[in-house]
Amino acid sequence: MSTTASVIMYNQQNLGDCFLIKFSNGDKKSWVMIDFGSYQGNNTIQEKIIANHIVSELNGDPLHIVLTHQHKDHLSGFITAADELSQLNVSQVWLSFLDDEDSEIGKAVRSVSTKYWQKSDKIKKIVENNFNDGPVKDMLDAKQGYDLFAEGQSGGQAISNMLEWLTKTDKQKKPLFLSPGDVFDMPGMEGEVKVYVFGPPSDFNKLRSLDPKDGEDVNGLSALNELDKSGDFLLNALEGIDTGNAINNIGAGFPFAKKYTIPVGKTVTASGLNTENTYNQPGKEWRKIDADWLSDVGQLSLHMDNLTNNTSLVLAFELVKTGKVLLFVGDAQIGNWKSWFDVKFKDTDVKAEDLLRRTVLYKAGHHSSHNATYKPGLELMNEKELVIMVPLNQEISDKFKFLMGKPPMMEGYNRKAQGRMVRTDTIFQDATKLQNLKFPFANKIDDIKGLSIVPPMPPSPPQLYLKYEVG
Amino acid sequence: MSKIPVPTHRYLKGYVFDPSFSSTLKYRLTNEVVYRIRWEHLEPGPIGEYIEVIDYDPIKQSYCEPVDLNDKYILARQGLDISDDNPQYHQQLVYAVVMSVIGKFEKALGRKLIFSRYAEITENGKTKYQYEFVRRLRIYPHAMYEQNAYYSPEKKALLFGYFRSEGKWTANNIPGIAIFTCLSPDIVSHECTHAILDSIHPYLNKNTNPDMLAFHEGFADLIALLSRFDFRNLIQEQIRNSKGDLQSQENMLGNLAYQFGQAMPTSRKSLRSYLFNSETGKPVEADPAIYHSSTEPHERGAVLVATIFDAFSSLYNYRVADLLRIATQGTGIMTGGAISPDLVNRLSEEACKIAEKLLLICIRALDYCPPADLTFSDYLRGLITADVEHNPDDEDGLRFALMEAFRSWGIVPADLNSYSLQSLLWQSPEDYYGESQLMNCLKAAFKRIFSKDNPEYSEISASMDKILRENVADGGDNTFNTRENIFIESNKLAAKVHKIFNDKSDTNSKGMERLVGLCFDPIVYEMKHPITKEPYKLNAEKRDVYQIQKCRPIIRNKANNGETSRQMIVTIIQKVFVDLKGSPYMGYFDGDQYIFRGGATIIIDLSTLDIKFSIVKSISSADRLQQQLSYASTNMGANANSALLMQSMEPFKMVHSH
Repeated sequence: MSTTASVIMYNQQNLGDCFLIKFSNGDKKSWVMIDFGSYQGNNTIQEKIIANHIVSELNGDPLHIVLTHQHKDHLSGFITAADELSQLNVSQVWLSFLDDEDSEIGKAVRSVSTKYWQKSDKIKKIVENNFNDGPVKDMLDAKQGYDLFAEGQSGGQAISNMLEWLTKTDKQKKPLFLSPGDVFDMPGMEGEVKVYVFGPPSDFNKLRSLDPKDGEDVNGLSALNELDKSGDFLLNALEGIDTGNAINNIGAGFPFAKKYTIPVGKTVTASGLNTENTYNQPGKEWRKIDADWLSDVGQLSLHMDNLTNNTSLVLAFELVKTGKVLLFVGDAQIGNWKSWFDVKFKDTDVKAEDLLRRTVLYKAGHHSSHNATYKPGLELMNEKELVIMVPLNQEISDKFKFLMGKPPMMEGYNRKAQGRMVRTDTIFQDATKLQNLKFPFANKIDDIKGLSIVPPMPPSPPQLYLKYEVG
Repeated sequence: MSKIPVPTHRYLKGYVFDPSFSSTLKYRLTNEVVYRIRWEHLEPGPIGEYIEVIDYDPIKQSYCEPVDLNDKYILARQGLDISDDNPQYHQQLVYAVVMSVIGKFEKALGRKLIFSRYAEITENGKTKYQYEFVRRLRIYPHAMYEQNAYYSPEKKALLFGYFRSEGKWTANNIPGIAIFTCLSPDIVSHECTHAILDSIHPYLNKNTNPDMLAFHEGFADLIALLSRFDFRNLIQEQIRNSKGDLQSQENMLGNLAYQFGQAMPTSRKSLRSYLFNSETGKPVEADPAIYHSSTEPHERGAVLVATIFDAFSSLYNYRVADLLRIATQGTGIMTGGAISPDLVNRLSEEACKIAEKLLLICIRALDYCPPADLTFSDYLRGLITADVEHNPDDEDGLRFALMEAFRSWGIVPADLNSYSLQSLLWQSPEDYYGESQLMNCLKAAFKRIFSKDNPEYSEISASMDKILRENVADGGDNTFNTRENIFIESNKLAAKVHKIFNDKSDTNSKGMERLVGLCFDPIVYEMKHPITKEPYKLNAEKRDVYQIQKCRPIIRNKANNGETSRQMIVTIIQKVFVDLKGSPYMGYFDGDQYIFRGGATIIIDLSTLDIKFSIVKSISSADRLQQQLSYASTNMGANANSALLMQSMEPFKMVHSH
């Protein structure tokens, strides 16, 4: 008998991740649940349906819960469906080392994040009150879309729920904090399934890096400092403007001594009026620059979002006998991916590169965003068998103008997996609707051996989940 | 007592590098120079004919008192004394640097610069788009607290940031002090060049191919670097320090924005360097691989600058070889010790002459560039054509040095049979397409517009005269002709030329617009699938709307014999909407539609009324469409989040943020 892994991808009918993996061989079995959340709130009904399904699947078996990172689309279910999930027999909770209270970097990330969100709320309100039109309004709308990922900062609540379930029977139980380079046997499947921890990187440079070009010249913790400082600066400056005290922004005597600066409307000299009148000339409003610097508010939102995505816990599950690998990357972006190639795994010569070569199931990073699959990483994967599972909701992605499910990425996945790509929203990618691509897209269930859909297709969607079995 | 004539120039003190050198013993004196700016009437700001400096800081919501450069004490001391702490000195420096760059362009182009914008105008409830005269480029010397400076095409403004220095205690950097981007003449010239380039070629800031933004960046650096050769003292010092070797480590002439580079978190020696690579510790060497592999605009733009500087070095080495032989008893090898002041003078003179000629040709080449979708090799052809036009008997070998440099950096037009001077020169339409009835129609049509037989000849002739009078300004407070008049008359001419394709009665001329890159019929593009190479078709609906974007008569004088010729520059642009439904590019662009532009720059010899050159980017070209689609679809991520970052209107802001 050989070890099998059956992977369920739940359909939240929303943007979000929820995976349930069952490893088994004969009577031996072991369960892992990775993430459970929806991007938009008010998805409680569907989340409860999913939770009930998980409870019934487990049927009292011990479960390992993994939370990859603290974004709502990966954790809201742990809160809304807490009643249902509390019936589970949680044997372990796996978190990244960044969630460890004792981790220095973790502390720094948490402190900057907490401060950031406090500042962000205030910044948003002041901007809304003082500048809310044209490009600024568009920026705020887009920011709203990004900020929703972290809405309510509910990561803490989700983790404490998990810990409550974990310690139900044994108060002494602690979560496992995983670091890159950790390797261990899957409990219950000793010698048959190995878990390798790829990320998040402990190098801050890589945590922030959005793509290979961006942020590479920022060293160590300075990326966090920068984020913190930019937030402070924006908030202080905006508060100054809001309270009519802008003249003291960035420091009263900076960049010029006070004698050189004249507040708006206070110029008295003829030459001063020359400048002020030219600036305020009717019909020339299109030349004003009052709001241009606020692009930094959007920039900061994006940095925060990237940072959190890059804190994703990345796990590779290896079926020891066949060498096949299942790769779950959370929302890791390029910086996180790039760090894997330098990871030295404990007590083994195996490298991330070897595991990528043997990857037969890849959970698409960040709902197939353009910057969350590192092409050289994808290229390494085993194209003869590779199946890519994409938790995606195109409707929501388009509505908020995220770059998910865009043709270049779909095309890349499709080419690499030779058509074996499944998405939560459409199950199969209908090639003709997306692009006039000639190479194969799977278009019926028989095209992917080991795939099942519940409820079966037909009838029509929505389905509850897709299950793929790696044998 | 006779009336004292209006002065021809105004003298203003300023930096040539940036503030960081003024606190050093060694460079203080060469860093501080006097800019010589064409005299003009100025209001406090300074606000003059071309620019208005508005010192408004939106973060502090405050103004700085504007400098009045006509103040008698300021006039008497050649501008305010250099002082970083005084915002009025900042205003003076940006004014001096921008006006000096504007002066260089006007000198090279032989005409006045006109700023305008394509504005949405609502009249009687109808919205239309038309060019609107914008008299002055606006300059905000303290526009944001950011490590950034940029040109905003939307606002026709230069925005300069200031920030607290980061980086390390290296070179002249002091972490924590205020760094003003407006005090770096390199940065100011660079941003100002963006604005001027945009005023000449408004469609070259569209990112339709990997060279477009790169050209903007490279060209802006080039002008900034070549501008320094105005200051003979500086060049002499550099020649002295580097013993006449331009590519030595001691030479600072190829390095851009020292202070800014050092104040960044990474602490670079300078922002960019083109002659000597301080990281490898070696002179920059030609490497064709960079052009063929890099996609980042600055990196790619750097190739252009390095190429021109390569030509500059070769010309310099070629020109001074004899001087060095004389100075070294024939060995050509410099020995220890300082070199003679006489030799420094002579070498500097050569360097400055070459720089001046190169600058002129680099700018003038813009008149020989296509109005859209420019590539570096188009620019090479523009350079060669400009040089041959300007200086038919090339005594300096300038164009050959350029050809050699472009070749060694891997920038060569793809469609040439041979890499020769003749094949690089732009041609007249019949040289491309051969004689035909349609060609005769096109030539006749242009002739008709500008000939005496045209019933509108008197108006056309009047407009041309008015425009050409631009050069007869009195140089003082009252200019003979205003730039706004030039703009108005030039628009009138454009309206006349626009009629060229209007005569639908002549069936013989049907389709002649294709000879200048337009097409008034439905277009079918024969494409190839990017992966499978299977053929397929794309369609653009019939669209006979086009724009005469520019129509400007100019007088050109040749370098050596003083001969002048009158020419007319006409640029025509058309756009069509390519339908991508059902194609491999479906799903990439809004509405599955791609906006594709084509057209031509046409130069007409006003003595014969022949089309001398036509520089065409055909709107019917499937190859060009294929390249644009492939480029745009693979670079989609770069345009992500434009609403979030408020970038949709600011093509240069993101490119410039560091």
